[in-house]
Amino acid sequence: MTKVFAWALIASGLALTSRVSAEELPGGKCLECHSTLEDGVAELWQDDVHAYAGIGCDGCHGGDPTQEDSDLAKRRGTGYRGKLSAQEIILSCGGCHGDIEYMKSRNPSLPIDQLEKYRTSVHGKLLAKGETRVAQCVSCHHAHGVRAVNDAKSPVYAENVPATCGHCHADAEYMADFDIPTNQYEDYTQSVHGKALLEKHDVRGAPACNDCHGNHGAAPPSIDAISNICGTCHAYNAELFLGSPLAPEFKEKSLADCVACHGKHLITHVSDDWLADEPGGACRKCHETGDEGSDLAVYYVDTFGSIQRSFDEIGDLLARAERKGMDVTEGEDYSEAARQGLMQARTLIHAFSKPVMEEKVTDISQNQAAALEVGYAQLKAFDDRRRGLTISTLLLLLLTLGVAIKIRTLPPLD
Amino acid sequence: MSPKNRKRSLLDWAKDRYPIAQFQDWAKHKTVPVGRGAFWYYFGGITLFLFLIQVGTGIMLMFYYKGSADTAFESVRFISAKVPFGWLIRSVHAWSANLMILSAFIHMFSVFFMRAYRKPRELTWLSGIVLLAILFGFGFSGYLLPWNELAFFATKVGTDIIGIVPYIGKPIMYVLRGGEDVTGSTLPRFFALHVALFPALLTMFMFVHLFFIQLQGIHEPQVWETQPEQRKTMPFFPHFFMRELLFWLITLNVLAALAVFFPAELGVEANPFAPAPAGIKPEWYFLATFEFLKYMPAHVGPIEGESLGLLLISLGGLLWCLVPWIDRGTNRRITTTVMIVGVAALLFLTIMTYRGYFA
Amino acid sequence: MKFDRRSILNWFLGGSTFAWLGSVIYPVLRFLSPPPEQEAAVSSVKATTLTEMEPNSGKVFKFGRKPAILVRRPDGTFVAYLAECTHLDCTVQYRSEKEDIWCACHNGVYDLNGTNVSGPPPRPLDALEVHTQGDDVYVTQKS
Repeated sequence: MTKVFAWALIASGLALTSRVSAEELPGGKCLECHSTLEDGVAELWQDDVHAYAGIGCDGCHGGDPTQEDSDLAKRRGTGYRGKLSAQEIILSCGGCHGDIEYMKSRNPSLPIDQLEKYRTSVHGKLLAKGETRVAQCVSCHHAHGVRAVNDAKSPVYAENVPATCGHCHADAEYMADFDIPTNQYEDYTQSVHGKALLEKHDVRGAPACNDCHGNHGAAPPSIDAISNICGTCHAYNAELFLGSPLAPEFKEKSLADCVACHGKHLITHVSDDWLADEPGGACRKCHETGDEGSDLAVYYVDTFGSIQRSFDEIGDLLARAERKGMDVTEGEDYSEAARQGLMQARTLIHAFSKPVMEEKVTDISQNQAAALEVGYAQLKAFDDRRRGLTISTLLLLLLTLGVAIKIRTLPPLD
Repeated sequence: MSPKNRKRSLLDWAKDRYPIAQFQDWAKHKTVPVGRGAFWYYFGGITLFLFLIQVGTGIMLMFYYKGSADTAFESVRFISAKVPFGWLIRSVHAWSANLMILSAFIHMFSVFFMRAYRKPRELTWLSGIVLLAILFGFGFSGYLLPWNELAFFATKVGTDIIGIVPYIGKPIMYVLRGGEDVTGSTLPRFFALHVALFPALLTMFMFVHLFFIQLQGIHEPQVWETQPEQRKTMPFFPHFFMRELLFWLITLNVLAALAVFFPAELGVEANPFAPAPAGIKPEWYFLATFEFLKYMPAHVGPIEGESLGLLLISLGGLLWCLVPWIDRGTNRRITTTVMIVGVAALLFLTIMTYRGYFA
Repeated sequence: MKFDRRSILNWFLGGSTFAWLGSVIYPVLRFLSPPPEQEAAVSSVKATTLTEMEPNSGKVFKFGRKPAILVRRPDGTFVAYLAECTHLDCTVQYRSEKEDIWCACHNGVYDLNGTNVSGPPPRPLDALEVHTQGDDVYVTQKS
């Protein structure tokens, strides 16, 4: 009796702790065979959001899930479709995901315009013409292990998006027939955005491919759109640029605004050299030495150069004072305020206006001057201390002399 | 009373009311031995002088120090940076603390090697050790007060070690810390210890210590017993006093020089949630114990290594206190052994402190 | 007055004692008299006055060593936060036209409860407490 009881206990324990078996997820008899086959479908199905939403294999593939025999399950009349073609895929996914009433009753927060957008994308348009090598739903979301977008293992999780797009777009052989470059992924990984997303894991802040190109309506942004797109995050830079004298000029010459100077995918940290009046400089692409734009660029370079030199001077000065044991926190605070100002000044470049920059530069100079003042004051204070000590020591020596002589005048010891 | 005799009449006025004449008489006859070891006699007075400096600078610091976790660090920075001569008062206070403990050690070891702990000065010896222990308490409690990173973690480590003492260690640690961990609640306790309890205790024991010395006089070199012709003394007033005064003045100047060229550091404010930086160590006078505990194996039989280490140190301390009863001067062998042990102890402490500092 | 060695010595001794004492007492007296600059408050800062700050305006000020922002809402009440953006530490500012707090570096937006509502910031702003006393407005650490 106890033995039976014990086995029953063990069995139920195993049942409770074991993974939800394939039979429990919707799929019926299909999974019975497919869990033994090498295609891995049954295993992937364990992680699929659709499985947990109660959708079975027949939801996309048709067929009769109640039939154990594979021929019977796939016979005519069951609606069995087998493996879907690219065109069938988008209709199958879009059939549910584009149905307002259907989605409203299941997950009202999801968008329902994916198929509509897809049709406007480069992928969608090419597929409509019969090109099946383009991306469709399954290419990015996968077929059987579809995870939520905010699941870190999903191929469309923010951090995974570049690799997913790069799967095709970085494959030169695959892309050979399409007349577009294949270096975007590599460029992106070297860029500040790529490093922020892939190395620093800033999934909320750093853009992946879809943030600029769109998700389902993926297409390279038009020239007119670029300021707006970069401006969704770099709002102030975009605002300044669009209000600057350069914006109408760029529009006239069909230059790609932000991209014209900063690049598309290989967007790196800016250095002051960009503004330099040298052949490689960004401004030199259009401006000649001596014209208004070039003069402004030179002004920028000179100003930032002298600001940087002041920072070096401040750093040395405060370090010197600190080595002597003086407190320089106030100087560091002024220096930090100046650094914040410099960051703001770099943004203000995009206004391409000397008066605007001059105002900020005055602010920065004031803070830097205050920091220097603190440093010099502390060095002077240290010298004052030494001077005070010298005076005090001299007085002490005098006193010592006096006491020593006095001791000598005392009656001798016997 | 005529104006010409005004000065005399003040003294006479006092003499009519208080036993000043007897005091003058006693003072005139107080002597100090002169000889080879006489140089060491100054260190007791120097320790006293440094304590007076601590009281003075400590009271001055209290004019500006704010003893709560939110404000302590900034108030110390304010003293160092903005208060006129605040840097001087603070650095003198920090240096004087170190020099005072050093001077106390020198004084204690010189008393030891001159065997001045013997009858009738056993209680003077004991009270002196109590004074040293109180000085350690001063040092430990005062170190936390700036509430900077180094002090915070050093206090954590130090109170951890107290917690290792069997049975009573954990309750004492809990009361000292004001809770499980070193927090903002620890600071007011340490402040109270530092400015109220320890000064009161120290003053009491100092009076006892000095009173005994005045009653019994300064210990005379042992060699005088066998060679009385070497006997030479110096009146305390004015001869010894003036020399002592000179040493005091020089010490004060040394303190000022140290304050100018090696000012006390402040570092960054304590953050209980940040990880401990590398290289946390206590102040130098605790380094020997700290370093010694590192050499203990994890376990020795059923006893934990650190507990054993503390036990050994405590036993050593106890023996040190009992020296007057171990070496009574009757057995030459015992005396020699005790002296050798003393040299060994001094070497041990020096080497352990050195290693703790540079390792 | 006698000008023998003894009295010269005594005068010299007295004089140098006096001078030396002066060099000790002078710093002590300077120390004890209150310095002109008050201590930088870290736990409580008087940020502004009711008359100085209008409704629907913001002010960035120093709180200890960090920047903080005080906002007077259109309804007259105050809120205050540390002004370091939780994304990459730029100093945020008040936008009166939007009645929100904005970070110019990467377009991070916080509502007046300090909640990060848009853009890269991963966390809300650190909140501070505001008390008014008469006409004065004080900002303190959150208790």
